[in-house]
Amino acid sequence: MILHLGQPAPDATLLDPQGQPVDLSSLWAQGPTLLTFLRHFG
Amino acid sequence: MFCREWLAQLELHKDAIHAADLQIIAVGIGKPKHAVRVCGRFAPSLACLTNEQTDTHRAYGLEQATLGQVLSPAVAGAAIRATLRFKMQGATTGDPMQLPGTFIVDTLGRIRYTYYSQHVGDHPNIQTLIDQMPLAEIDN
Repeated sequence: MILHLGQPAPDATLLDPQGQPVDLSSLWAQGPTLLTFLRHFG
Repeated sequence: MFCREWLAQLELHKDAIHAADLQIIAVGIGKPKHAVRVCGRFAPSLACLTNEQTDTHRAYGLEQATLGQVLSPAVAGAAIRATLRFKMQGATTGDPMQLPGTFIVDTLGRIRYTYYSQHVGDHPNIQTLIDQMPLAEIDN
């Protein structure tokens, strides 16, 4: 289901390049975020 | 435009994006070592995060591509363009049928911009995205 403007962005815990977990919400709390989803890092 | 070219575009225009008070986060399917390899080469100043599963993509409404979204003249054109720019796709580290997408999220965690890619080689036009940033009405 697509997201619409004004809706809450889903939070998730992902891994940074060092393998450390990072919560998306901790990033956007620091400032507005351009969040781009790639198919993969290929 | 495939992912490598998109990352390179974000890197190239990062100053304009940062000037709009936006940080850039790229999320890809794969392992951290894949982000190190690809982001290090095409977008060394961007923050890249990984997930081996597609659940986060799904949570943002990014679906699996149909056959037509993988094999179409638009995808072929994007592939040719990427090849000519030496940014052809490398080995798949995730789901090759996963569609990409781009969002702007404000500090309260609300969606302010959405771009759902029409096919696997589709990302926003970077200049159009930059031009639309003021319209995202970011709340600080």
